[in-house]
Amino acid sequence: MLAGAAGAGLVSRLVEPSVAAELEAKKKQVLIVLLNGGLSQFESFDPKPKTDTGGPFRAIPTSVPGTHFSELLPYTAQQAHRLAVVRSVFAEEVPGSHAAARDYVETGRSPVLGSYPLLGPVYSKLLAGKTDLPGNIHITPSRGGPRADAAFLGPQHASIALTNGDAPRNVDRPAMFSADADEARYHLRDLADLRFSQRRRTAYSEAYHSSYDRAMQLIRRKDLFDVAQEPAKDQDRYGTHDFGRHCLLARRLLSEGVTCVKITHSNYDSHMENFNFHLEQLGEFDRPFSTLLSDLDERGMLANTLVVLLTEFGRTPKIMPDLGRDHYQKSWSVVLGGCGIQPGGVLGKTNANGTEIAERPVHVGDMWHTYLQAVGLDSRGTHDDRNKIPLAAPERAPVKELLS
Amino acid sequence: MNFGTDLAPALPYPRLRSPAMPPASLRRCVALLLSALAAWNGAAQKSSALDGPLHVAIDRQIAAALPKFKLKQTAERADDAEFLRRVTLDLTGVIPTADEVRAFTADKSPDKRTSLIDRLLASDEYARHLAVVFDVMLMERRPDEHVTSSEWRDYLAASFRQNKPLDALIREILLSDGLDPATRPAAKFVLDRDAVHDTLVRDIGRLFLGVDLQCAQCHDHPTVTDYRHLHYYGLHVFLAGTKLYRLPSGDKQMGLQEEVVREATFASVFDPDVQNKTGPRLMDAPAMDVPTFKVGEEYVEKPSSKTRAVPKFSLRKALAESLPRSETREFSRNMANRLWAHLMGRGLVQPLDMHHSANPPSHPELLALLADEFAAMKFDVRRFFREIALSDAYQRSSLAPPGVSPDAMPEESYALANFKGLGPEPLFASLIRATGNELTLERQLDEATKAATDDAARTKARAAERDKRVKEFTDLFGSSAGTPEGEFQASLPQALFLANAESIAVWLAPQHDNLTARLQKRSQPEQIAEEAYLSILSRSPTPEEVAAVQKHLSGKVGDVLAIEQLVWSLIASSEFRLNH
Amino acid sequence: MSDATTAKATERLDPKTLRLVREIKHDRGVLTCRVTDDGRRIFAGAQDEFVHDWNLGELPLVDEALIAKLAPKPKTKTPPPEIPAGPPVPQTTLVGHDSWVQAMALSADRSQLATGDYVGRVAVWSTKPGATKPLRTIEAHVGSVRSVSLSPDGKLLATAGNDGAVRVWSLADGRETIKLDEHGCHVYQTAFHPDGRQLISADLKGVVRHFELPSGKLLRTLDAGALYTYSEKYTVDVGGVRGLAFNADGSQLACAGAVGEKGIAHSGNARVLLFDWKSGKLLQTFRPEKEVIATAWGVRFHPDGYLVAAGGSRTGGYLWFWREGTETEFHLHTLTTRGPGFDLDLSADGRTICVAHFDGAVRLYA
Repeated sequence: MLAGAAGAGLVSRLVEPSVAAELEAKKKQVLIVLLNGGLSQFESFDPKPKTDTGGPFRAIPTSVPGTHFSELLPYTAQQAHRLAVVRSVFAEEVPGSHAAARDYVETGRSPVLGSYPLLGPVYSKLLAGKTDLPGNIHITPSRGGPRADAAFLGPQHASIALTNGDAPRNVDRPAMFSADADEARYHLRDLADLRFSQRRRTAYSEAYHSSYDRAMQLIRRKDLFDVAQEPAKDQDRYGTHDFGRHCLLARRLLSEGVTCVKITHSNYDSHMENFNFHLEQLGEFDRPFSTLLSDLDERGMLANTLVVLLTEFGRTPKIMPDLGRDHYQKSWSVVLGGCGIQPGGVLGKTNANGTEIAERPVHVGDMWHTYLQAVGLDSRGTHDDRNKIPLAAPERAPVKELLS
Repeated sequence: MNFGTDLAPALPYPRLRSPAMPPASLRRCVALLLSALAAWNGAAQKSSALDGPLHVAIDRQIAAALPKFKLKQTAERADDAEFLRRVTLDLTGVIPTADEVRAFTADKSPDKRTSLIDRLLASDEYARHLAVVFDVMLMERRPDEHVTSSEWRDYLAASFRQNKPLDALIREILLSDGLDPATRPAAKFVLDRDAVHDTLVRDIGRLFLGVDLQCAQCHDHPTVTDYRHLHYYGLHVFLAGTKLYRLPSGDKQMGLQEEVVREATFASVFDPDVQNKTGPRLMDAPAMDVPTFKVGEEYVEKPSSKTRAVPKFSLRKALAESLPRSETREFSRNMANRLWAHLMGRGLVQPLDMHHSANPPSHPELLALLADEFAAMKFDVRRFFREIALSDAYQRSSLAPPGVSPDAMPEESYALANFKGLGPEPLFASLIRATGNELTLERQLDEATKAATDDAARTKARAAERDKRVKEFTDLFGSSAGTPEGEFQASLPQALFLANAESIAVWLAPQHDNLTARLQKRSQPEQIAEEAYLSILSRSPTPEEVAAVQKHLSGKVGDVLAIEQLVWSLIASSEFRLNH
Repeated sequence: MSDATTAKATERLDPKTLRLVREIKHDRGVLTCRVTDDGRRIFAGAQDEFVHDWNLGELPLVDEALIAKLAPKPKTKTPPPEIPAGPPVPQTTLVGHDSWVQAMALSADRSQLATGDYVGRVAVWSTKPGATKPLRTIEAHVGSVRSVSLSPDGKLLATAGNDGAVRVWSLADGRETIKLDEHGCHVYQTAFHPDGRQLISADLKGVVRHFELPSGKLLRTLDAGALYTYSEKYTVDVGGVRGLAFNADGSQLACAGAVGEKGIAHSGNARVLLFDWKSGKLLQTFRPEKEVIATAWGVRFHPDGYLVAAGGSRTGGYLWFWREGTETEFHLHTLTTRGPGFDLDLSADGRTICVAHFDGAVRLYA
C-alpha cells in the first residue's frame, strides 16, 4: 500500500526478472498534454485540404518527408521526426459527452464499465521513484480544474492541481506560524508520533508522517512552481500566454523529477466557428509545445520521457451550419513521442475526406496499453491492491508498431 | 443477555449531547427497541445454533485460529480510555468529550463497558452516524442527482433510529419507485445512478452480494474464475426493464418505471459470435421462473408515452424480495462481513466485494457463523454490533504485548486491534470537538444564516452551511465519486490542508471558550498537558508527555503561539488521525 | 433614417410580401455574396478556393419554375406533375485563391471586385465578363482575411484579418499605405465611410475603431462590446461584430452580431446595434421579437429607411427587418432551409436581397 516501501536500492540478484523490469521502469517520466474539448483532426494532424470536409486550411510539409500537418501547426510540423502520429484512433460512442469520452481516453476503458484511474495516478503509483515530489501534477486552465482522477488508487495518487499554473492550495503557512514556529510544531508532532508508534503497527503512521514530510518539503520548495525563476530568454521562447507558461512550468517540474505532468489546454470544443477556434487555439499551442519537445530532447530527457498528446475525440468531417464541427468518435488522431516510441512515423489512415478509417484502426484501449508499455510497464499486469483488476482492458493490446 | 435490562440503569456518565432528541422520542425509540427485541427473542432462539452469546463464540473462533497465524497470544484488553474512544468513534462518529473520558475512567462499575455500548447504540448520534456510514457505503460519494443527500440521510437515520432490520432496509431501497413521498428517499440508490443498468448491476453485486462483477461485464472475469459473465447478466435481467420516468408533477422530478424484460442475450468480447442467454438469476442459483402473460397483457395499464410502464410481474420487485433474505447466502455473508469490518477495521473477507473461492475468509467458520447469526437475529444491526463490540477481539488494545513485534501479528488475525482512518465526517466532527470549537461553529452558522426569515429556513440554511464546511473534508479525505472508501491513505494535499488551511487555523486561534483559549488561561504546564490530551487524544498524558509539554512551554506559559503549536501537533498526530 | 410614411410611398421592396424568387445551387456552403445594381449578377465565395460569378444574362430575375414548385400543393390523389426546373444560371469560376473565400467587396462603379480567403490572400478582379484571373493578389494577412472593403473613389482597399491587423492598400499598385495594429484580437469587419475620408474596423471584442484617412490616425472607438462575451466556463471569446454597414449619407452605423453565450461557447441571441455616427451614441439595440439562438451575420440599410439583417444558427435561418424606433422587427422572414444566411447584399435599386446560404446556395429574394 505504501509508495516507496520498496525503494530502487533494493534491486538485487534475488529480485525476479519481472520485478527488476518494473524497477527499471521507475526512471521513466511522462508528459501528457490534453487538448480539452476535442481537437479537430482535420485542422491538425490529418489534414484533408481542398475536399468537401477539409475546411479552409492547407497542409504543410513536416520534418518527415511525405508527412503533412495542417498549416496551423508550423512549429510542431518541424518536430514530426520526434513524434509518432496515429490517424486512426477510435472509440465507441458513450453517453455523457466530454467527461465520459475523456475518461475513455484516459482510462482505456469505456466509462460504462465504472470508475478506473486515469493515466496520471497509474504512473504515479507504478513509476514513482524515491522522490519526495508529488508523482502526478496537473497544470489546469484558470477554470475547470481536475476532477478526482485516482479512482480506487486513492487520494495518495490523485493529481496535485496547479490551477492556472499556480502553486498547489494551502502551500502557504497560516499567519500564526512563521518558518521557525513551523519547525517547532512539526517537531512536536513527530514526538507524538514516535511515542504512538512504540509497540504499534507503523504502516499508517509512517504514511501519515511521510505526507507531512512531503508537505514540508513542498512548503520550502514553493519555487518549484514559480516559472518566473526560469531564464528570461526561455520565458520569451515559450511566450507569456497561459499555455506557454504552463509548458515552461512542465519543463521545470519534469527537470526536477516529477513523474507525471499533465497540462490541459482549453478549449477546442468548436461547435461554432471551428476554424476560428482552431486558428486561435493551435496558434497558442503550437510554439510552446514544440519548444518543450525540443528542449526535452536537447536536455537528454526525451529518451526517458513519454510524451502523449491527447484529446477526448475528434471532430466531424461534416461542417455544421455555424461553421462548427461536432464530436466524432469514429476516427481521430493521437500523437506520441519520446520514451519507448518509434518516432517519425504515421500509423493508420483515414479515407480521402476523413469520414472513415481506411487502414489500421486503433482502439483507445489499445492506445492505453501502449502508453504503459512505452515506459516499460507490463500492461497485461493487474493492480496489486484491490480486486486484481487488470491494469488495461484485457481484450485490448499494445500497438506494437508504435513501440521502439 | 437481556438488552432491556442493560439499558435500564440510570446513566452514570454525562449523556451524549443530543439536542434533536427530546425525551418523548427517546422513549419511543426505546419502546421500538424493546419490541424489536421481543420479536427477536421469539424467533432467533429457535434458529440460532449457539448455546451461548455470540460474542463468546466470536472469541472462541478467533482464539482457535491463532496458531494459523503462528501466534501464541493476543494483545491485552484496551484500557478504558482507548476503548471509550474507539467505540464512541465507531458507533457515533466522533471522539468523546474530555468530560466523558473523565467520567468513564473514574467509573468503578464492572459492567460499564456493556452499559456504554448500549447507551451509544440507543443514542440519536448512532442513528445519524450509521446514516453517514451507509450513505458512504451505498452511494459512494456520488453527487446528488434526483434525491438530495439530506433527504436520504434523514431516511437512513430514521431507519437506524427504529432499528429497521437490514434486509427490510435494503428491500425498500431496491423496491422504491420514488412515487410515494414517504419512501421516495429510498429510491436514491437507483435514481441517483440514473437507473443505468450496468452501474446498478455492478453496485448491487458489490454492495449487497459482496461480488465485484465489474470485470465480468464483457467476458468471464480474467483472474477470478468464480465470477462469470453469466452472473453479470443473470443479475442484469432483474434490472434491464427499469427506467427513469418523469413524474407528472411538472417539476422535472424523476421516478422509476419498468418495461417487461425476461432474459438477457450476451456474448463475450473474446468470442463475439457465441450468443448466450439467461433469465434472472442470483449468482449460481437457478434462473427464476417468470410468469408469462399474453402479448399486450403484460402491463397493469397499457403503456403509452404518457403513462408510466408498470408490469404485472415486476422483476425489480422480484429482486427486492429474493436478494435481501437469509436464503441468499451471499447477502447475509456480505452484510455480516461489512458490519464486522466497520468495527474490526477489516473484513473477514477482504476486499469486501471479493467473496470468491480463491480469496477465502481469514476465519471461514466465523464468517459462516456471523452470517447465520445475523440472519437468525433477523438482520438486527444494533444487536449484531452489540455482540461484536462486546467481544474481547473488539476490546483489544492496539498495543502489541511486550516483546512481540506488532508486525508479527497480522491484521487478519485480530490478535491486535486494527487501525481505522477517521472518515471525513468523523474527522471534521472530532476536530471541532477536540479543539473545543463546537460553540465557534454554532456561532459561524448563526452568522452565516442570520438572513433566514423563519425557523424552517434557518434550520435548512444551517444544515447547508455545515455541509459546506464538511465538504472541504469530504473532497480531500473522502473517496472519489463511485469508488468505495479504501484503506487508509495519507496524501500531500491532505497534509497541506491540515497544516496550513485557513479553516484549520481559525480553530487553533483562541476564541470564545475553545481549547486554545482555555489552555492559555492555565498557568501550570501539567494542567495544560492534561487538558490538551484529554480533549484531543481522549486520554491523560504519560509522565514523559507531561515532561515534553513542560519543556515546550518553559518560559512560555500564556504564550498563544506555544499553545497553538501544542494543539496543532496533537490534532496532526497519527494517534488523532486514526481510530486505534 | 427617412420617415416611415414617406418611405411607404417610394417603397421598392415590401418585406411583408417578400418571397424567394431564384435559387442558385452550389456544391459547397456559400459564405459571402455581392450583387450588381439590378441584382442580376452575383459574385460569391464558398467553402472552396474559388470566386463564383453567376450572371442571369437573358434569364428573368424571377424563376417561375421555382415559384410554381414552392406554391402550396392542392390535396389530390394523383401526385401533381413534376415541374421542370428552369435553365441553369451561367456560371464563371474565378481562380486565384488557395482557400475558402469569406470576404468580398464590389467597387462603387462595379468595375472591380476584391476578395479575401482563409489563408491570408487578397485578390482583386476585373468584373468584365470572361476575366477569370485576378488583376492582382496580395498576401495580406497571417491567417484568415475576415474583411475587405473598397473606398468610394475606388482607390483604396482595406483588409482585416485574424492576425489582428487592419491594412490599407493602394489599388493601383498594390502598395501598402497604412498598417493599423491596434486591435490585438481578430478583426472581423471594415468599412469606409461614404465620404471616403474615414475608415472603421470592428473586432471580436466589439471594439469599433475609427481612423482618419489618409493619415491612419485613430480618432476614437465606439463600443459594440454588447456583441462580445467571454465564456468563463470554456475560457474562450464568443461573438464579435459580424456585420457592419453605414447608411447612404453616413449618418448612421449598424453593427450586427449576437449577445451572450448559449451552450458551448456558442453565440447567443441576434442583435443589431444602431449608432449615430457623429456623436457615437447608441441609438437603438434591435432584437428579434422571438429570441432564438442566432447570430446576425450581415446587415444592410435599405434605401426605404429600414434595416435588413441575415443570420441564424443550425436551428434556423432568418431575415429580420427593423425600423428605427422599434426594438423588435416589423417583419421576420424565415429562410426555407435550416442553417443561417451568412451574408447578404442588397441590389442598388433596392428591389432584390441576395443571401449566401450555408446549405450550398445563393438565393434571391424580392
